[in-house]
Amino acid sequence: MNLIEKRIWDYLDGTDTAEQRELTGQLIKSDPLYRQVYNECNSFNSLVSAIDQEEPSMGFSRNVMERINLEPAHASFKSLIDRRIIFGIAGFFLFTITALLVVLFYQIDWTQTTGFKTPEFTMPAIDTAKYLNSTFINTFFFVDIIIGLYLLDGFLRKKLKSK
Amino acid sequence: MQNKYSDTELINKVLGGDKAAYADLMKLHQRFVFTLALRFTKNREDAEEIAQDCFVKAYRSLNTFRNTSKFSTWLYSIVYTTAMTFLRKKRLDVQSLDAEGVLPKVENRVSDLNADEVEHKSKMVFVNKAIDQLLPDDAAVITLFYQGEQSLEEIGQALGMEVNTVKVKLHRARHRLKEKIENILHHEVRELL
Repeated sequence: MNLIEKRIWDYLDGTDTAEQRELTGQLIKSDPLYRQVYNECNSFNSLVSAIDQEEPSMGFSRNVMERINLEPAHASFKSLIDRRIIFGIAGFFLFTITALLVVLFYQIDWTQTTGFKTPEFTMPAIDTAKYLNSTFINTFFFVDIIIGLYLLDGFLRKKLKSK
Repeated sequence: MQNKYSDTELINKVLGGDKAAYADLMKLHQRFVFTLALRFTKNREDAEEIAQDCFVKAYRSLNTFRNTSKFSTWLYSIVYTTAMTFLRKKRLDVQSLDAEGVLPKVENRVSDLNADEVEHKSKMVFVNKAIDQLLPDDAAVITLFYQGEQSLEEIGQALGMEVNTVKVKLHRARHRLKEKIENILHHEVRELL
């Protein structure tokens, strides 16, 4: 490619410097050779820009959407999980671990000089029969069924909307 | 058909779980994605396969798309890598392909068109023929610049190249295309005589 052509292309694409641009602009006006190359490049640009884009087959969108429908729907973690919930869970675990460590260190007998004596820990007796009675179990299942119906309703509404 | 939503709005809808919005997003870009794929494969069936794969890949990675570039630029980079992988797999010899099968058969519909349309279509057939004779990289740069209306920076992003490399490639591709068009036209004129 000769220098004139390169300069003209840079001028047309706007990739030259301001000085070069001004100089090339003047040359196009004054030099017939520059003007000829400029006209040729311009015609080339209009010819190639006018090409139509190809059209894919009629079933193109349908085929892609069939494959897309097999993919799991996008749902960003941001919308699924609230940050406060994450911080709440982290806080709960941090508090539990810290409390356990405090109790553990508090129960260690630091005056002992020989060996390591594990602190005694006895689990308080819990009477499960007191809490797990039939009323509790019935209430538990009732709440479960309500939540299940609520989720099913949401799922069916979403499905109807997407159709 | 003018879509009432922008690319970004449609992307947000898709990311919110609305799969149907992806069909609208696809409609905005499918013609160009298919055209670009066709520049690489020179075959409609293969181009359609690549274009479909690109849209599925784009859907899967849509949550990784950051608005630092245009969606079209991001999508064209997927087309480029998918087409390159496809070509490598097929070890396609672009020189041995019969370009006739790729071109739209406008000659058969000439009677339905007026003189200006015939002239326009004929010109387009010659230019398409010439582009099909270019190397895939040259054809892609020409297509991205003229039909995709991408800037040199955007083409660089899509093809993973420096702006200066794209600039040189575009200059060379234009030069080669000009030669091909001249050759084809010269050949056609000789055939007419």
